[in-house]
Amino acid sequence: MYVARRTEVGRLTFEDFYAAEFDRVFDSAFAFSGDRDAATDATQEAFARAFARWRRLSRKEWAGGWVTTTALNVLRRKYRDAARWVAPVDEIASHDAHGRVDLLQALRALPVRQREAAVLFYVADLPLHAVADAMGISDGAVKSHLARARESLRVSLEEQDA
Amino acid sequence: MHDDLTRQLRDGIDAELGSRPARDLSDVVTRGRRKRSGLRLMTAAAIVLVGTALFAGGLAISHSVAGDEPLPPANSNVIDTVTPTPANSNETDTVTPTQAKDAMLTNPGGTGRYFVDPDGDDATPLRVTFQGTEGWTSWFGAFKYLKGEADGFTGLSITTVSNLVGDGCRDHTALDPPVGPTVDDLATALSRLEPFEVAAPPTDVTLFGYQGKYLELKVPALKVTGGGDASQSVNVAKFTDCVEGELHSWISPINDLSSTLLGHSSGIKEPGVFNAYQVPGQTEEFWILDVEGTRVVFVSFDTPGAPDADVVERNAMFDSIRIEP
Repeated sequence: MYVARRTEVGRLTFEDFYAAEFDRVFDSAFAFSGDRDAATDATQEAFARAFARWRRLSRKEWAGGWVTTTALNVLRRKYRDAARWVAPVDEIASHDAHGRVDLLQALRALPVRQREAAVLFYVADLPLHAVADAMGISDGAVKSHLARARESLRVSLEEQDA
Repeated sequence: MHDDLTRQLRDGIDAELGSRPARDLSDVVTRGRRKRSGLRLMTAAAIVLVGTALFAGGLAISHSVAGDEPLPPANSNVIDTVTPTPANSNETDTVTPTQAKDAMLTNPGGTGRYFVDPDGDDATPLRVTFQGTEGWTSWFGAFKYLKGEADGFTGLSITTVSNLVGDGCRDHTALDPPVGPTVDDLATALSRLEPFEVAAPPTDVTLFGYQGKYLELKVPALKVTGGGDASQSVNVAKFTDCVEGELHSWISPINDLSSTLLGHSSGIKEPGVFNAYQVPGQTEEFWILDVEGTRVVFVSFDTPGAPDADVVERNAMFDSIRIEP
Protein backbone atom coordinates (compact mmCIF):
# COMPACT_ATOMS: atom_id res chain seq x y z
CA MET A 1 0.00 0.00 0.00
CA TYR A 2 1.25 3.42 -0.90
CA VAL A 3 1.49 6.35 1.41
CA ALA A 4 1.44 10.01 0.53
CA ARG A 5 4.94 11.40 0.62
CA ARG A 6 6.80 14.43 -0.41
CA THR A 7 9.09 14.33 -3.39
CA GLU A 8 12.67 14.22 -2.22
CA VAL A 9 13.56 17.31 -4.15
CA GLY A 10 16.44 16.83 -6.51
CA ARG A 11 17.23 13.34 -5.25
CA LEU A 12 14.62 11.09 -6.74
CA THR A 13 15.28 9.49 -10.11
CA PHE A 14 12.37 9.23 -12.51
CA GLU A 15 12.51 5.45 -12.32
CA ASP A 16 12.17 5.53 -8.53
CA PHE A 17 9.41 8.10 -8.78
CA TYR A 18 7.48 5.94 -11.24
CA ALA A 19 7.87 2.88 -9.04
CA ALA A 20 6.79 4.74 -5.92
CA GLU A 21 3.85 6.62 -7.37
CA PHE A 22 2.35 4.26 -9.95
CA ASP A 23 -0.23 2.65 -7.67
CA ARG A 24 -1.34 5.96 -6.25
CA VAL A 25 -1.85 7.47 -9.70
CA PHE A 26 -3.49 4.40 -11.19
CA ASP A 27 -5.83 3.85 -8.24
CA SER A 28 -6.87 7.48 -8.38
CA ALA A 29 -7.53 7.27 -12.11
CA PHE A 30 -9.50 4.07 -11.64
CA ALA A 31 -11.51 5.43 -8.74
CA PHE A 32 -12.24 8.51 -10.84
CA SER A 33 -13.31 6.65 -13.98
CA GLY A 34 -14.13 3.05 -13.18
CA ASP A 35 -12.47 2.11 -16.45
CA ARG A 36 -9.40 -0.07 -16.01
CA ASP A 37 -8.04 0.37 -19.53
CA ALA A 38 -8.63 4.10 -19.61
CA ALA A 39 -7.09 4.48 -16.17
CA THR A 40 -4.04 2.52 -17.25
CA ASP A 41 -3.57 4.64 -20.36
CA ALA A 42 -4.13 7.89 -18.49
CA THR A 43 -1.60 6.84 -15.88
CA GLN A 44 1.01 6.06 -18.50
CA GLU A 45 0.28 9.29 -20.35
CA ALA A 46 0.60 11.33 -17.17
CA PHE A 47 3.93 9.75 -16.32
CA ALA A 48 5.11 10.34 -19.89
CA ARG A 49 4.38 14.03 -19.49
CA ALA A 50 6.20 13.99 -16.18
CA PHE A 51 9.13 12.26 -17.85
CA ALA A 52 9.38 15.02 -20.46
CA ARG A 53 9.71 17.69 -17.77
CA TRP A 54 11.24 15.74 -14.97
CA ARG A 55 14.03 18.16 -14.19
CA ARG A 56 11.55 20.86 -13.27
CA LEU A 57 8.88 18.59 -11.86
CA SER A 58 11.28 16.83 -9.53
CA ARG A 59 11.68 20.12 -7.68
CA LYS A 60 8.02 20.13 -6.73
CA GLU A 61 7.21 19.07 -3.21
CA TRP A 62 4.26 16.97 -4.32
CA ALA A 63 5.16 15.83 -7.83
CA GLY A 64 2.93 12.80 -7.33
CA GLY A 65 -0.03 15.13 -6.97
CA TRP A 66 0.85 16.78 -10.27
CA VAL A 67 0.96 13.44 -12.06
CA THR A 68 -2.28 12.29 -10.44
CA THR A 69 -4.08 15.45 -11.46
CA THR A 70 -2.68 15.16 -14.98
CA ALA A 71 -4.03 11.63 -15.21
CA LEU A 72 -7.46 12.81 -14.08
CA ASN A 73 -7.35 15.62 -16.65
CA VAL A 74 -6.48 13.12 -19.37
CA LEU A 75 -9.51 11.09 -18.39
CA ARG A 76 -11.70 14.15 -18.22
CA ARG A 77 -10.77 15.16 -21.74
CA LYS A 78 -11.23 11.62 -23.00
CA TYR A 79 -14.77 11.41 -21.72
CA ARG A 80 -15.69 15.05 -21.77
CA ASP A 81 -18.89 14.55 -23.66
CA ALA A 82 -19.78 11.10 -22.47
CA ALA A 83 -22.96 10.60 -20.50
CA ARG A 84 -21.09 8.52 -17.95
CA TRP A 85 -19.73 11.68 -16.38
CA VAL A 86 -23.17 12.75 -15.33
CA ALA A 87 -24.19 9.57 -13.59
CA PRO A 88 -27.83 9.39 -12.54
CA VAL A 89 -28.59 10.21 -8.94
CA ASP A 90 -29.89 6.73 -8.15
CA GLU A 91 -26.37 5.39 -8.67
CA ILE A 92 -25.39 7.14 -5.46
CA ALA A 93 -27.35 4.60 -3.49
CA SER A 94 -26.38 1.59 -5.57
CA HIS A 95 -25.48 -1.62 -3.79
CA ASP A 96 -23.04 -4.40 -4.58
CA ALA A 97 -23.81 -8.11 -4.73
CA HIS A 98 -23.56 -8.38 -0.95
CA GLY A 99 -26.02 -5.60 -0.35
CA ARG A 100 -23.34 -3.10 0.68
CA VAL A 101 -23.43 0.41 -0.57
CA ASP A 102 -20.97 0.75 -3.41
CA LEU A 103 -18.98 3.72 -2.23
CA LEU A 104 -16.90 3.83 -5.39
CA GLN A 105 -20.01 4.16 -7.47
CA ALA A 106 -21.18 6.92 -5.22
CA LEU A 107 -17.84 8.64 -5.66
CA ARG A 108 -18.09 8.37 -9.44
CA ALA A 109 -21.51 9.94 -9.36
CA LEU A 110 -20.15 13.13 -7.81
CA PRO A 111 -19.71 16.26 -9.94
CA VAL A 112 -16.29 16.30 -11.56
CA ARG A 113 -14.54 18.85 -9.34
CA GLN A 114 -15.90 17.29 -6.15
CA ARG A 115 -14.87 13.90 -7.42
CA GLU A 116 -11.41 15.16 -8.29
CA ALA A 117 -10.95 16.67 -4.82
CA ALA A 118 -12.25 13.54 -3.12
CA VAL A 119 -10.02 11.26 -5.18
CA LEU A 120 -6.93 13.34 -4.50
CA PHE A 121 -7.69 13.62 -0.79
CA TYR A 122 -9.11 10.21 0.07
CA VAL A 123 -7.67 7.87 -2.55
CA ALA A 124 -4.35 9.51 -3.40
CA ASP A 125 -4.13 10.52 0.27
CA LEU A 126 -2.61 13.89 -0.46
CA PRO A 127 -2.72 16.54 2.25
CA LEU A 128 -5.15 19.38 1.80
CA HIS A 129 -2.60 21.92 0.60
CA ALA A 130 -1.22 19.46 -1.94
CA VAL A 131 -4.73 18.88 -3.29
CA ALA A 132 -5.17 22.63 -3.61
CA ASP A 133 -1.81 22.85 -5.34
CA ALA A 134 -2.67 20.07 -7.76
CA MET A 135 -6.12 21.45 -8.57
CA GLY A 136 -4.91 25.03 -8.83
CA ILE A 137 -7.42 26.31 -6.28
CA SER A 138 -7.30 27.56 -2.69
CA ASP A 139 -7.37 25.38 0.41
CA GLY A 140 -10.78 26.83 1.18
CA ALA A 141 -12.15 25.83 -2.21
CA VAL A 142 -10.87 22.30 -1.68
CA LYS A 143 -12.56 22.18 1.71
CA SER A 144 -15.78 23.29 0.09
CA HIS A 145 -15.57 20.58 -2.58
CA LEU A 146 -14.76 17.96 0.05
CA ALA A 147 -17.61 19.03 2.32
CA ARG A 148 -20.11 18.65 -0.50
CA ALA A 149 -18.58 15.35 -1.53
CA ARG A 150 -18.76 14.03 2.03
CA GLU A 151 -22.36 15.08 2.32
CA SER A 152 -23.25 13.01 -0.72
CA LEU A 153 -21.14 10.08 0.40
CA ARG A 154 -22.50 10.30 3.95
CA VAL A 155 -25.91 9.28 2.70
CA SER A 156 -24.37 6.18 1.24
CA LEU A 157 -22.46 5.40 4.41
CA GLU A 158 -25.55 5.83 6.57
CA GLU A 159 -27.47 3.46 4.36
CA GLN A 160 -24.65 0.96 4.70
CA ASP A 161 -24.66 1.27 8.49
CA ALA A 162 -28.44 0.96 8.72
CA MET B 1 -13.87 10.26 8.58
CA HIS B 2 -10.80 10.57 6.35
CA ASP B 3 -9.26 7.26 7.36
CA ASP B 4 -12.59 5.48 7.19
CA LEU B 5 -13.37 6.76 3.71
CA THR B 6 -9.85 6.09 2.51
CA ARG B 7 -9.97 2.51 3.77
CA GLN B 8 -13.37 1.83 2.25
CA LEU B 9 -12.47 3.36 -1.09
CA ARG B 10 -9.23 1.43 -1.29
CA ASP B 11 -11.02 -1.77 -0.32
CA GLY B 12 -13.49 -1.05 -3.09
CA ILE B 13 -10.70 -0.52 -5.60
CA ASP B 14 -9.02 -3.78 -4.57
CA ALA B 15 -12.32 -5.61 -4.88
CA GLU B 16 -13.09 -4.23 -8.34
CA LEU B 17 -9.61 -4.60 -9.75
CA GLY B 18 -8.32 -7.84 -8.41
CA SER B 19 -4.84 -6.89 -9.50
CA ARG B 20 -3.10 -3.75 -10.72
CA PRO B 21 -1.93 -3.55 -14.35
CA ALA B 22 1.70 -4.32 -15.02
CA ARG B 23 3.99 -1.34 -14.79
CA ASP B 24 5.61 -0.43 -18.07
CA LEU B 25 8.36 2.11 -17.70
CA SER B 26 9.58 1.59 -21.25
CA ASP B 27 6.17 2.67 -22.58
CA VAL B 28 6.38 5.84 -20.50
CA VAL B 29 9.88 6.58 -21.79
CA THR B 30 8.83 5.94 -25.39
CA ARG B 31 5.86 8.26 -25.10
CA GLY B 32 7.91 10.93 -23.38
CA ARG B 33 10.57 10.87 -26.07
CA ARG B 34 7.92 11.02 -28.77
CA LYS B 35 6.59 14.19 -27.21
CA ARG B 36 10.04 15.72 -27.36
CA SER B 37 10.33 14.71 -30.99
CA GLY B 38 7.05 16.47 -31.67
CA LEU B 39 8.39 19.64 -30.16
CA ARG B 40 11.48 19.47 -32.32
CA LEU B 41 9.37 19.02 -35.45
CA MET B 42 7.29 22.04 -34.51
CA THR B 43 10.46 24.04 -34.07
CA ALA B 44 11.68 23.03 -37.50
CA ALA B 45 8.31 23.82 -39.03
CA ALA B 46 8.30 27.23 -37.39
CA ILE B 47 11.71 28.01 -38.82
CA VAL B 48 10.44 27.14 -42.28
CA LEU B 49 7.33 29.25 -41.83
CA VAL B 50 9.28 32.22 -40.54
CA GLY B 51 11.71 31.95 -43.39
CA THR B 52 8.79 31.90 -45.79
CA ALA B 53 7.23 34.91 -44.13
CA LEU B 54 10.44 36.88 -44.28
CA PHE B 55 10.87 35.96 -47.93
CA ALA B 56 7.34 37.14 -48.59
CA GLY B 57 8.36 40.47 -47.20
CA GLY B 58 6.87 41.01 -43.79
CA LEU B 59 5.87 40.01 -40.33
CA ALA B 60 2.56 41.79 -40.37
CA ILE B 61 -0.53 40.46 -38.68
CA SER B 62 -2.08 37.68 -40.63
CA HIS B 63 -5.25 35.76 -39.94
CA SER B 64 -5.53 34.10 -43.29
CA VAL B 65 -2.39 32.06 -43.69
CA ALA B 66 -2.26 28.27 -43.59
CA GLY B 67 -5.84 27.32 -44.23
CA ASP B 68 -8.69 28.30 -42.01
CA GLU B 69 -6.76 28.60 -38.79
CA PRO B 70 -6.26 32.16 -37.60
CA LEU B 71 -2.67 32.93 -36.76
CA PRO B 72 -1.16 35.19 -34.12
CA PRO B 73 0.66 38.34 -35.23
CA ALA B 74 3.37 36.12 -36.65
CA ASN B 75 4.21 32.50 -36.27
CA SER B 76 7.77 32.55 -35.07
CA ASN B 77 6.91 31.89 -31.46
CA VAL B 78 7.71 28.22 -31.28
CA ILE B 79 11.37 28.88 -31.91
CA ASP B 80 13.58 28.37 -28.88
CA THR B 81 10.83 26.62 -26.96
CA VAL B 82 13.12 23.64 -26.67
CA THR B 83 16.84 23.77 -26.35
CA PRO B 84 18.22 21.36 -28.97
CA THR B 85 19.99 18.41 -27.46
CA PRO B 86 21.82 15.41 -28.86
CA ALA B 87 19.45 12.62 -29.85
CA ASN B 88 20.40 10.35 -26.98
CA SER B 89 20.94 12.94 -24.33
CA ASN B 90 19.25 12.74 -20.98
CA GLU B 91 15.67 13.85 -21.56
CA THR B 92 15.49 15.57 -18.20
CA ASP B 93 17.84 18.21 -19.54
CA THR B 94 15.71 19.02 -22.57
CA VAL B 95 13.70 21.99 -21.42
CA THR B 96 15.73 24.93 -20.25
CA PRO B 97 13.77 27.32 -18.05
CA THR B 98 14.17 30.82 -19.37
CA GLN B 99 15.82 33.40 -17.17
CA ALA B 100 13.15 36.03 -16.88
CA LYS B 101 11.75 38.69 -14.59
CA ASP B 102 8.26 38.52 -13.13
CA ALA B 103 6.24 40.87 -15.31
CA MET B 104 4.00 41.76 -12.39
CA LEU B 105 6.86 42.61 -10.06
CA THR B 106 9.01 44.61 -12.44
CA ASN B 107 8.32 48.30 -12.86
CA PRO B 108 8.71 50.18 -14.97
CA GLY B 109 8.76 47.72 -17.85
CA GLY B 110 11.42 47.80 -20.48
CA THR B 111 13.51 45.49 -22.55
CA GLY B 112 14.34 42.06 -21.26
CA ARG B 113 12.68 38.76 -20.75
CA TYR B 114 9.58 38.64 -18.57
CA PHE B 115 7.43 35.83 -17.33
CA VAL B 116 3.79 35.55 -16.40
CA ASP B 117 2.31 32.81 -14.25
CA PRO B 118 -1.07 32.53 -16.02
CA ASP B 119 -2.84 30.63 -13.25
CA GLY B 120 -1.31 32.71 -10.49
CA ASP B 121 -0.04 29.61 -8.77
CA ASP B 122 3.67 29.58 -8.07
CA ALA B 123 3.49 25.89 -7.27
CA THR B 124 2.48 24.82 -10.76
CA PRO B 125 5.22 24.61 -13.38
CA LEU B 126 3.31 26.48 -16.09
CA ARG B 127 4.60 29.90 -17.05
CA VAL B 128 4.74 32.03 -20.16
CA THR B 129 7.65 34.28 -21.09
CA PHE B 130 7.89 37.14 -23.56
CA GLN B 131 10.37 39.77 -24.64
CA GLY B 132 9.53 43.17 -23.18
CA THR B 133 9.91 46.48 -24.98
CA GLU B 134 11.01 49.87 -23.71
CA GLY B 135 8.19 52.25 -22.92
CA TRP B 136 5.58 49.65 -22.09
CA THR B 137 3.86 49.10 -18.78
CA SER B 138 4.12 45.57 -17.53
CA TRP B 139 1.30 43.65 -15.96
CA PHE B 140 0.27 40.08 -16.80
CA GLY B 141 1.52 40.96 -20.22
CA ALA B 142 2.13 44.55 -21.26
CA PHE B 143 0.19 47.57 -22.39
CA LYS B 144 0.79 51.07 -23.69
CA TYR B 145 -1.51 54.01 -23.42
CA LEU B 146 -1.18 57.16 -25.44
CA LYS B 147 -2.83 59.92 -23.46
CA GLY B 148 -4.42 62.73 -25.35
CA GLU B 149 -6.75 63.17 -28.25
CA ALA B 150 -5.72 60.00 -30.00
CA ASP B 151 -6.71 57.84 -27.02
CA GLY B 152 -4.43 55.15 -28.33
CA PHE B 153 -4.41 52.02 -26.28
CA THR B 154 -2.92 48.65 -27.10
CA GLY B 155 -1.70 45.68 -25.16
CA LEU B 156 -1.27 42.01 -24.54
CA SER B 157 -2.65 39.94 -21.68
CA ILE B 158 -1.50 36.46 -20.70
CA THR B 159 -3.75 34.85 -18.16
CA THR B 160 -6.30 32.25 -17.28
CA VAL B 161 -9.96 33.21 -17.27
CA SER B 162 -12.14 31.72 -14.56
CA ASN B 163 -15.45 33.34 -15.42
CA LEU B 164 -17.25 36.20 -17.16
CA VAL B 165 -19.63 38.87 -15.98
CA GLY B 166 -23.33 38.45 -16.65
CA ASP B 167 -23.49 41.39 -19.05
CA GLY B 168 -20.58 43.64 -19.91
CA CYS B 169 -22.69 46.77 -19.67
CA ARG B 170 -25.65 46.11 -17.39
CA ASP B 171 -24.64 43.29 -15.03
CA HIS B 172 -21.12 43.25 -13.65
CA THR B 173 -21.67 40.31 -11.32
CA ALA B 174 -19.99 37.02 -12.15
CA LEU B 175 -21.93 34.38 -14.02
CA ASP B 176 -23.55 31.83 -11.75
CA PRO B 177 -23.06 29.01 -12.49
CA PRO B 178 -19.66 30.01 -13.81
CA VAL B 179 -18.35 29.34 -17.28
CA GLY B 180 -17.40 25.68 -17.73
CA PRO B 181 -13.81 24.51 -17.64
CA THR B 182 -13.11 23.78 -21.30
CA VAL B 183 -11.73 25.92 -24.09
CA ASP B 184 -15.02 25.60 -25.94
CA ASP B 185 -16.96 26.66 -22.86
CA LEU B 186 -15.06 29.92 -22.64
CA ALA B 187 -15.03 30.61 -26.37
CA THR B 188 -18.77 30.10 -26.56
CA ALA B 189 -19.45 32.21 -23.47
CA LEU B 190 -17.29 35.05 -24.76
CA SER B 191 -19.03 35.00 -28.11
CA ARG B 192 -22.36 35.38 -26.28
CA LEU B 193 -21.26 38.12 -23.89
CA GLU B 194 -23.43 41.19 -24.30
CA PRO B 195 -23.08 43.86 -25.51
CA PHE B 196 -19.89 42.99 -27.37
CA GLU B 197 -19.98 42.39 -31.10
CA VAL B 198 -18.39 39.22 -32.41
CA ALA B 199 -15.92 40.46 -35.02
CA ALA B 200 -14.67 36.93 -35.63
CA PRO B 201 -16.54 33.85 -34.33
CA PRO B 202 -14.73 31.04 -32.52
CA THR B 203 -12.60 28.95 -34.83
CA ASP B 204 -10.11 26.18 -34.21
CA VAL B 205 -6.53 27.28 -33.89
CA THR B 206 -3.17 25.78 -33.10
CA LEU B 207 -0.74 28.17 -31.46
CA PHE B 208 2.58 27.54 -29.75
CA GLY B 209 1.93 23.86 -30.37
CA TYR B 210 -1.35 23.78 -28.45
CA GLN B 211 -4.89 23.52 -29.76
CA GLY B 212 -7.62 25.93 -28.91
CA LYS B 213 -10.02 28.55 -30.17
CA TYR B 214 -9.61 32.00 -31.63
CA LEU B 215 -12.23 34.73 -31.63
CA GLU B 216 -12.42 38.50 -31.75
CA LEU B 217 -14.77 40.82 -29.89
CA LYS B 218 -15.46 44.46 -30.58
CA VAL B 219 -16.92 47.20 -28.40
CA PRO B 220 -20.20 48.24 -30.03
CA ALA B 221 -21.37 51.77 -30.75
CA LEU B 222 -22.28 52.69 -27.19
CA LYS B 223 -22.58 56.25 -26.00
CA VAL B 224 -19.32 57.46 -24.46
CA THR B 225 -18.38 60.58 -22.55
CA GLY B 226 -14.97 61.74 -21.37
CA GLY B 227 -11.65 60.20 -22.29
CA GLY B 228 -8.92 61.79 -24.29
CA ASP B 229 -7.80 63.90 -21.36
CA ALA B 230 -4.02 64.01 -21.28
CA SER B 231 -4.03 64.79 -17.57
CA GLN B 232 -5.95 61.65 -16.70
CA SER B 233 -4.94 58.04 -16.49
CA VAL B 234 -6.36 55.08 -18.32
CA ASN B 235 -10.03 54.19 -18.24
CA VAL B 236 -11.46 57.65 -17.73
CA ALA B 237 -13.92 57.34 -20.58
CA LYS B 238 -17.46 56.58 -19.47
CA PHE B 239 -19.98 54.38 -21.21
CA THR B 240 -22.95 56.49 -20.27
CA ASP B 241 -25.61 53.81 -20.28
CA CYS B 242 -23.58 51.16 -18.47
CA VAL B 243 -23.30 50.34 -14.77
CA GLU B 244 -20.63 52.60 -13.25
CA GLY B 245 -20.00 53.93 -16.72
CA GLU B 246 -17.81 50.92 -17.46
CA LEU B 247 -17.72 47.86 -19.64
CA HIS B 248 -16.58 44.68 -17.91
CA SER B 249 -15.86 41.27 -19.40
CA TRP B 250 -13.59 38.42 -18.35
CA ILE B 251 -12.47 37.57 -14.83
CA SER B 252 -8.90 36.54 -14.20
CA PRO B 253 -7.37 35.09 -11.04
CA ILE B 254 -4.36 37.34 -11.55
CA ASN B 255 -5.99 40.50 -12.81
CA ASP B 256 -3.91 43.38 -11.53
CA LEU B 257 -6.48 46.12 -11.42
CA SER B 258 -4.12 48.62 -9.95
CA SER B 259 -2.03 48.62 -13.10
CA THR B 260 -4.76 50.37 -15.02
CA LEU B 261 -5.35 52.80 -12.19
CA LEU B 262 -1.76 53.60 -11.33
CA GLY B 263 -0.12 53.21 -14.69
CA HIS B 264 2.14 50.51 -13.32
CA SER B 265 1.81 47.08 -11.83
CA SER B 266 1.55 46.68 -8.08
CA GLY B 267 2.49 43.05 -8.27
CA ILE B 268 -0.67 42.14 -6.40
CA LYS B 269 -2.26 39.13 -8.00
CA GLU B 270 -5.89 38.79 -7.12
CA PRO B 271 -9.08 37.97 -8.95
CA GLY B 272 -10.44 40.83 -10.94
CA VAL B 273 -12.37 41.72 -14.02
CA PHE B 274 -10.99 43.30 -17.16
CA ASN B 275 -12.54 46.71 -17.63
CA ALA B 276 -10.01 48.66 -19.69
CA TYR B 277 -12.48 49.54 -22.40
CA GLN B 278 -12.22 53.01 -23.84
CA VAL B 279 -14.15 53.57 -27.02
CA PRO B 280 -16.48 51.91 -29.50
CA GLY B 281 -14.50 49.95 -32.03
CA GLN B 282 -11.95 48.76 -29.49
CA THR B 283 -11.08 45.15 -30.29
CA GLU B 284 -9.91 42.13 -28.36
CA GLU B 285 -8.49 39.07 -30.04
CA PHE B 286 -8.56 35.91 -27.94
CA TRP B 287 -6.45 32.83 -28.33
CA ILE B 288 -7.75 30.28 -25.80
CA LEU B 289 -5.46 27.28 -25.55
CA ASP B 290 -5.51 24.00 -23.68
CA VAL B 291 -1.99 23.81 -22.28
CA GLU B 292 -1.60 20.46 -20.59
CA GLY B 293 -5.03 20.78 -19.05
CA THR B 294 -4.78 24.44 -18.14
CA ARG B 295 -6.89 26.89 -20.13
CA VAL B 296 -4.46 29.68 -20.98
CA VAL B 297 -5.77 32.81 -22.66
CA PHE B 298 -3.83 35.31 -24.74
CA VAL B 299 -5.58 38.58 -25.48
CA SER B 300 -4.32 41.32 -27.76
CA PHE B 301 -6.34 44.50 -27.52
CA ASP B 302 -6.36 47.74 -29.47
CA THR B 303 -8.35 50.92 -29.67
CA PRO B 304 -8.93 52.32 -33.14
CA GLY B 305 -6.56 55.17 -32.33
CA ALA B 306 -3.63 53.00 -31.28
CA PRO B 307 -0.51 54.10 -33.16
CA ASP B 308 0.66 51.60 -35.73
CA ALA B 309 4.13 51.60 -34.20
CA ASP B 310 2.69 50.49 -30.85
CA VAL B 311 0.70 47.72 -32.50
CA VAL B 312 3.85 46.52 -34.26
CA GLU B 313 5.72 46.47 -30.95
CA ARG B 314 2.89 44.61 -29.27
CA ASN B 315 2.88 42.07 -32.07
CA ALA B 316 6.60 41.59 -31.64
CA MET B 317 6.03 40.81 -27.98
CA PHE B 318 3.33 38.33 -28.96
CA ASP B 319 5.76 36.73 -31.39
CA SER B 320 8.31 36.33 -28.64
CA ILE B 321 6.01 34.32 -26.36
CA ARG B 322 7.16 30.95 -25.15
CA ILE B 323 5.08 28.54 -23.10
CA GLU B 324 6.91 26.55 -20.47
CA PRO B 325 4.37 24.02 -19.19
